[in-house]
Amino acid sequence: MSGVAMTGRVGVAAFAVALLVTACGGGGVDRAAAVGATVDEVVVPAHARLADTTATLAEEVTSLCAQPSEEQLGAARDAWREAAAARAAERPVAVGPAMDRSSKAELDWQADPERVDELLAGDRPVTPDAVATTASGARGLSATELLLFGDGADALATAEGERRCRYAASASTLVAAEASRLRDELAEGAADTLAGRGGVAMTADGAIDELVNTQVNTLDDLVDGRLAPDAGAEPGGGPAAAGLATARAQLATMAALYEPQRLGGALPEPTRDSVRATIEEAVAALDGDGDGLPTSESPERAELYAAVDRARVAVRTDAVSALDVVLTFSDNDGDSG
Amino acid sequence: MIGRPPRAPDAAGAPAVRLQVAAGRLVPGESLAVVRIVVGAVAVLSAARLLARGWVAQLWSEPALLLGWPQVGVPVLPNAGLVAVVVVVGLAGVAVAVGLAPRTAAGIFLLAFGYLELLDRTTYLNHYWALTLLAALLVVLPTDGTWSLAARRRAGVPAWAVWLVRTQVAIVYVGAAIAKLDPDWLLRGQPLGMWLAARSDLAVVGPLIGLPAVGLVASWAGLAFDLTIVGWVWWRRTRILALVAALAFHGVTWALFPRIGVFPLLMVGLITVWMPPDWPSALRRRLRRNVGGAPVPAGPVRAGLVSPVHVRRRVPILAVLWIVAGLALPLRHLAIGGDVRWTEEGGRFAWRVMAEEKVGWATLAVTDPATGVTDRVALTDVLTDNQAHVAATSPDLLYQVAGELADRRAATAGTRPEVRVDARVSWNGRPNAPLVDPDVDLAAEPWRRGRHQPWILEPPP
Repeated sequence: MSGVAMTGRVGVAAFAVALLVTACGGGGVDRAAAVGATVDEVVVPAHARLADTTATLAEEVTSLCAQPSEEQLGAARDAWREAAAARAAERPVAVGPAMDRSSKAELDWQADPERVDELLAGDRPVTPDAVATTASGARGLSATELLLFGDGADALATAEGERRCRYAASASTLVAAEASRLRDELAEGAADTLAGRGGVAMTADGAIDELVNTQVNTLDDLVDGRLAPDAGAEPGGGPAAAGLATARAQLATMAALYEPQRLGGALPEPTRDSVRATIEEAVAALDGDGDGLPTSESPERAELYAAVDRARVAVRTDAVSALDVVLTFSDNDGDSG
Repeated sequence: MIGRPPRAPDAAGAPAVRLQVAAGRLVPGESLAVVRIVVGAVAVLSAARLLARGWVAQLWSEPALLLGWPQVGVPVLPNAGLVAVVVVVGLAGVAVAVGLAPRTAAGIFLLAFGYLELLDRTTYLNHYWALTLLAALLVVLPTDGTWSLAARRRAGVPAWAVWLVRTQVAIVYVGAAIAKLDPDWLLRGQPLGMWLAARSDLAVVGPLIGLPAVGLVASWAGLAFDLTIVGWVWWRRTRILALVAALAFHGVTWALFPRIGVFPLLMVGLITVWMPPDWPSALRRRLRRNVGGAPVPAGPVRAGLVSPVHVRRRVPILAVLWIVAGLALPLRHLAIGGDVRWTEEGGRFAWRVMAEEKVGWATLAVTDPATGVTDRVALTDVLTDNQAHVAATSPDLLYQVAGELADRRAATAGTRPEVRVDARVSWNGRPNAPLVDPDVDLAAEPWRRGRHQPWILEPPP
């Protein structure tokens, strides 16, 4: 009995020494700190920028309706580009209230050209309240893109485009209102909840699950929906449909997440570095192709697809595995009505 | 099973006969009754979870493609039928637990549960397999003599029955230990280190378990536990400590890794079979004594009032076959070749409990040979998330998906396409690596039964 007890004591002592040595040497993972920094440095600023740029968009389009001109149309289009870039940067971190509210349906559900044309041609009111009751594909940034850049958009610079302009103003006002709500909810406690602070805090596990699942959904949409060699052109006829700026902005946000002090801090260093490097390579591949999306089935398109797909695989496998995340849900829950 | 009286004393000196007599000796049936109750309770719990969480539809009705066992075609019932089967599982579990025709109930459970298990290989879990094996034993073992509605009077069980269940439980534990005898577990402390680090936000213990050395220490501790726990529970001097350790171990694993489901509950119940066959009565007597109550008399079996019985000749043969099969099945990967940790060949029915962390992602390139046009299909386009999670890291399931996809396209388009799979897997924290040869048309590959599939690529270093 004494031998067993002795062995037990030696084992406990060895375990304690091992822990002490390791504790002194550091090297542990602080997931809560990683989540806190991610929320404060990426999630909150991304939503603030989205709220600011969409508010500017709404103002510029409203001004365009009040005083139609080429110059004001240009300003409205520039504001749209800024807002679209902000939304793209926010999309990989559309967690917390954005997820709870299924904000994708309000912000940038893919435009449904038929519904947009129908509303333009009809005599239904195009006030914000009326547009809010239409299907998601007839409002949001994607529909606004169609209105500002699509066929017939030049009429916006003249009085002839009055209905189209009011429709665009209403759609952008709704987007701005939703973005503003997200920013306010984050400021009023949702950010603390996500970051694990306060009385109704999420666990770091829960927050990391949301963050990684959102990235994966974003990457799936990007890779399969936009960059796949056989993917057709998106509706919109504007810079988002033809360009790579939004893709670049999405990936840039993801790369920022894998900084050592942010979500990357919850990963072992080699995994963090390799995931981040793969995402940065994808960003570089997008940079190398200018702002134009290479045509379907072209070798350039295939290269672009492969580079971004590698980033997706790195997140879906290496990051998911190291963070012990369960990929469960899809954000494909908006109103497609 | 309890048959003729023992042979004449002059033959009792031979070792084989002594063993036969010892195996046939009646012992109290309480420890086996506990096993019966635990198996029944876990069956009920499993059925309740399946129903309460809507898993019946999620696992078997909603998937567009079920990855059943290729050699065992079972019809897929409509959802109502599947729910009925799960209800049967639960009711049979109740009957097993309370001892209402427990052998028949165990047989019904075995059929119903086995049917569900055969529907889709992605639902395979080691504890389901353990439950299946124990249910099979309950069909043949006389566990209905104790704490059973079927028992007219308390009856003992032959010692061989207790030892057969003990051996089965030991195979699970030791098999789980053997599965962990690899450099990742022993030298890198993986995957446990990753899993513990992922729980570093837990209160109190969080900062501690996130430390890298804890993963390594915990890996060795877990291995030592699996390898030796049955011995510690068996040995009287260490029994109490070992039981506390078992409770703590399974409690901690359940708290840290809730996804392992009812496995800890099952094992905590089963490990008790390594205690003396009358342990519940002994515990009750001790408790009574400690609180000053009236002593509980030892039952007739405990008092040795029953005769030793002879064991029928076929019993030891069947028991040995059962044990040999139980030992051989987890080790069959050695005959197949390749690294089972990566290839998964011989990985099922092998007690590889939490031995690896693998996360994969696969896309299938479906090419029409006539036109050369290739469609890319994500695994999640044809499987549910749960199925895809398992299939992406299992070459045999990827092979099956490729074949099914080709068959379906051939049925609709008239031409059987080529299907190549680009599967990348992150294994125990390594950067993702290709699992199968992306240049091989898996839809045209023959399945080499019992042999290593050459299109599975080498594991990353």
